[in-house]
Amino acid sequence: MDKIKKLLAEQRSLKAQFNSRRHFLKDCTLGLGGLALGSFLNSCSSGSSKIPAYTTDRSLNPMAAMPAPYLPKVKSVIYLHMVGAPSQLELFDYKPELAKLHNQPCPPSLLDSKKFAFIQGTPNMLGPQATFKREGETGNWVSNHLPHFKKVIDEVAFLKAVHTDQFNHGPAQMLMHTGSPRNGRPSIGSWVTYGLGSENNNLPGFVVLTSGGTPDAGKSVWGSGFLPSVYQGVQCRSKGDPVLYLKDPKGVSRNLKKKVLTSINNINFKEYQKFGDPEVLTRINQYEMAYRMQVSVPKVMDIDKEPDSIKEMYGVSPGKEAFANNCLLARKMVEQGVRFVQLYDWGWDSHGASPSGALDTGFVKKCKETDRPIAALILDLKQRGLLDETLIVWGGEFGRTPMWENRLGIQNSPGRDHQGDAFTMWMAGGGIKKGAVHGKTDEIGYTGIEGRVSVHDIQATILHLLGFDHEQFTYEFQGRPFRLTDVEGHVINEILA
Amino acid sequence: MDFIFDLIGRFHPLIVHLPIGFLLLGLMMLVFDRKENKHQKIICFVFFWGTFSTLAAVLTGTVQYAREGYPWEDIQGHLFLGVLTFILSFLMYLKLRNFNTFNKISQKFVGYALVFTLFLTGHLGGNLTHGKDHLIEPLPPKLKKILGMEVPPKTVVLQSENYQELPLYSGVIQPILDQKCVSCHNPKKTKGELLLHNFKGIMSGGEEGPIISIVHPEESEILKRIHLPRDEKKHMPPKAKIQLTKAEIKLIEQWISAGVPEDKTIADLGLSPSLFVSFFPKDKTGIYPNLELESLEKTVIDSLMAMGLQVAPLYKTSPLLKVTAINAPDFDDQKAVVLLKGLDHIVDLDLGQTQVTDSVFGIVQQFKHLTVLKLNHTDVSGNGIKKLRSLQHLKKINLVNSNFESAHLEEMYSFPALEKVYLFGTSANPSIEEIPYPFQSIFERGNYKINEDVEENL
Repeated sequence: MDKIKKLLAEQRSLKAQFNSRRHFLKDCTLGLGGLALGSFLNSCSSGSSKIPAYTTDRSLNPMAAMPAPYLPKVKSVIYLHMVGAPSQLELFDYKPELAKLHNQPCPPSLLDSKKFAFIQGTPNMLGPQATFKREGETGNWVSNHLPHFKKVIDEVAFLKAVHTDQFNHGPAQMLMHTGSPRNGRPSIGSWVTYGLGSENNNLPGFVVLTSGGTPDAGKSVWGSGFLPSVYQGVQCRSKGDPVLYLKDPKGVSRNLKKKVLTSINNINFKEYQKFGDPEVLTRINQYEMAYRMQVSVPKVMDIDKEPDSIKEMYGVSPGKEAFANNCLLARKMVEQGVRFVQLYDWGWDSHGASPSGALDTGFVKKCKETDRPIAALILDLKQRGLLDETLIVWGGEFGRTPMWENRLGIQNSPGRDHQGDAFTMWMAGGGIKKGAVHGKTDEIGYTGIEGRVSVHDIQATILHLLGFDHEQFTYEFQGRPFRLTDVEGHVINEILA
Repeated sequence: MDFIFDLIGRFHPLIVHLPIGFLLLGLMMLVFDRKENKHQKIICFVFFWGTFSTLAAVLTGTVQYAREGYPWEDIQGHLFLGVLTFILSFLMYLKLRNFNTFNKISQKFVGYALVFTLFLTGHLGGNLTHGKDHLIEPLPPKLKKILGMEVPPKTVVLQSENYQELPLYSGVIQPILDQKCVSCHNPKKTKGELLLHNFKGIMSGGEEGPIISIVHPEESEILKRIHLPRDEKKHMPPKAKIQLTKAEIKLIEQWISAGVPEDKTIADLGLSPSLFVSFFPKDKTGIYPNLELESLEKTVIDSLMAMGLQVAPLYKTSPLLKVTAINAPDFDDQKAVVLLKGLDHIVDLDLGQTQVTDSVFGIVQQFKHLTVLKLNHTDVSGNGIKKLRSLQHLKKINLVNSNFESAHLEEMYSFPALEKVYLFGTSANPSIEEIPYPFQSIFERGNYKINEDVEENL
C-alpha cells in the first residue's frame, strides 16, 4: 500500500510539474533572464511576501544550506574535466617498455574481444610521445608536457588504474558525471547541491564553466535528472555576458523589476500553497536567484579586478573564453562559497586524424593551455587557505590505447584510440593523501593490474569527502530509491589522508 | 570423590524451583486463610518444607559457586538474597508455630519481605544462567529506546597502526561471530546443533553438515545463509537480530576463500587495507574538539540566522556549530556581539569579507572551543590578537588580504594549538628567517610564482 501511495504521490507531482511548465511558457513571456526578486527585499519591503527572508526549510527554499550527515573534509569541489579524454601515456603513466615496442605491429592477443571506436585491423604500437621525469619530494612521474605541474605534484594523489565500461565520449561522460551512461540521472554537482544546498544566497550552488566547446554528451552532464531542476548546474561564460539574458532590457529599472518580480513570486507562491508542486518553488527561486545574480555574478565573474600578479600566475586572457580564466573564476567562486564548480575543457580527443588532434601538435597545445592554470589554481587555493576545504578532481572520461590509431587502415600523425580499461585521474585538496599513488597498469598501460578503481568508486570518494555515505544518499523516484553510484562504488581509502 | 560435590552443585538449578513453589504456595495460603485462620497446620507444613528446600538450595548453590568458578561480583547479590530468603522463611515458620521470636517484626512484614526476596533472588539467579539481557533482548528496539535500555550495537574496533599484526581469525572473524552469532550458537544454546564460539565448532558444522566449503568457498553454507534475503526464514542472523554489516560479510568471505586459516595474520594474507577501514575508530570531529554538548536551542540559532548568518552544525548530529557571514557583508563588531549566544558551540567562525575590525578579538576570545577563525578581506590589523592566546583549540586563522601587520605576528607564537595562519595579501610578509624555527611551517605566506622561463624549456 505504501508503495502505491508513493507512486501516486509521484505521479501527482510529475503531473503538476508538467502543467506548470506549460503554464509558464504560455503565460509568463517576460523572458527568463532578467527576472527575479531578492529575498533580501523582504527586509526592506512591506512584508507582504509570505516567503521568509531566510529559512532552512527546504520546502520554502530548496537551496537552503544543509549540514552533511557526517563530518565533511571539504566544503567545495572543483572538477576539471578534460573533454575528449587526455592520454595518460603522455602525461602521468610512464611506460618505458612501450617505447621499445614503438611501431611494431600489435599482437592479436591484445585486440581479441576488445571494442574500439576507430582501430581497424592490426595497428602498430605507439611509444610514449613525451619524456618523463620524477618530480617533487614524492618522486612521482610527470611528462615534459606539464612543466609547471611539478610545483604541485606533491599536493596530488594519483589514481593510475581507473576504468570505465564506456568507450565513446557521450556515454562515458554521462557515466563519469551522472553514474549512468544513459540520460536521465542527476549529475554529481546536482546531487551535491541537493544534499548540501548553497552557502551563498547570491550565487548558484553548482556552476559550470566551459572552454573550447560543449562536452559531447551535451548539457545533460550537468543536468538535474529526476532531482528538482533547481539543482541543475548554471553555466557561466567567461566571455561576454557571464550569464546569458541576465541583463535588464533597456528602459527597465531595477526598482521596477523588483516590483514585477515580487508580484509574480507572490502569485507563484499561492500556486505552490495550492498544489505543492516543487517546480513552482524552483521557479520562484530561479527568479530570486537571477535577480540577485544580476549584481553578484558580474562581480565574481570579473577577473579584471584581480591583481596583475594573480592574472599572470594563471596566465589569463581577459575577454576570451579560456581554461585559464575558468580556473581563476573557479577559485573566485569557491572563495564565495559556491559548492560545486565544474570545468569542462574541450579538445583532448587525440586520435591523430588531424593536427589539432595529434599527440605532437594539438595535444601539446592543450597541455600548454591547462598546465599553468592548474598549477596556479592549486597554489592560489593553498595560499588563501582554501585548498584544505576544497577538493580538486582532474580527469577525462576514459584513457587512450597504447596502439597507434589507424583510422581506415591509415596511420596518420601520432594519435591514440579510446580506451576504458586503464587511465589516470588525480585528486588534490582537503582529505586527500598528498603524493599518494594508487593503482598500477601493465607494462604498456593497457589495463590495470593493481588498485583498479571504477568511475563509481571516484564518485563514492567525492561524496565521502563531502560528508556523505554514497550508499545512504538516495532520492526516491519511480518507486525506488536511486543513488549516484547505483549499486556500486567503494570509497578509495588508499588516497585519503 | 570430588565429583559428588560437583554433582550436588549441579542440582542447584533443579532444587531452586522447590522453595519458589513451596514458599509461594505458603504465601498464597496465608492470604487465602487470612480471615478464618482454619488451615494453620497445613500452612505450617508448607513453610516447613519451604524452609528446608530453601536451605537445600542455598547449600547446593554455595557448592556450585565454590566448584564452578563464578566471579563473586556476579554471585554476591543472589547468594545474599538466597540466605535472606532462608532466614525469612524460617522466621515465618517459627511465627506460624507460635514461637514468640522477634515479636517486633509482624508476620505480615515477613510475608511481604519474603515475596520480595523470593522474586529478586529468582531473577538474579535467572540472570546468571541466561545472561543479564535475557528479558530485555526480545523487546522491540523502539520499546528498548523508550525504556532507555538500548544497548549500543557492539562492533569490532581495530587500530590502524597495528591491525595487520592480528591473526585474521582470532583478531577479527571470531570477535565478529561473538557479537552477531554466538548468542544462539554456543554450548548452552546450540541452535541447529551449530557452535560458532570457537574454531573447532565452526569447522565441525551443524545438523545439516559442514558450514564451510574449502573447495568451493563461495558455496559455503554460512555464506549462503548470510546472503539469503533478510525475509527468508533461513537467513542468518535471523531477521529480528542485529545484522552483519557489509564490511563484516566481506571479511568472512575473504577468510573462507583464503582457506579458513586459523593463525595467519592479516599481513600474512596480504589483505587490502580497504577491507578494514570501517573497523577503525571513527574520527567523528576531525580537527574540531570532540565535545559532548547539548545542542544549541533552535530559537537561538534562528535569531543568529535572522542576522543573515549561516549557522549549521558541523554535521547533521553534531552540537558544534559552523558560522559564516558570507551573506552578511555589512556584519560588524557591534553585530558580532550576538555570536556570544553560541559561546560554547561555535567552533568554526568565518567573518571574512565583513566590516569587523580589531575589537572583534574581544568577542572572539570568549569562544573557548573555537578551532577555525577566518578574518580574510577585513580591516583587522591584528591589534588585540593576543587575546586569543587563551583559546585551547584554535588551529587555523585566515588573515588573507586583511590589514594584518607584521608587528603582531609574534603574539601568535604563544597560541597553544596553532597549526596554520594564512598571511597572503597582508603587509605582514616576513622572510622565513624572521620566524623562529618551530613556527615556520605555521605561517603560510603564499606569494607563489610560476616562472615564465619554464615554458621556454618546452
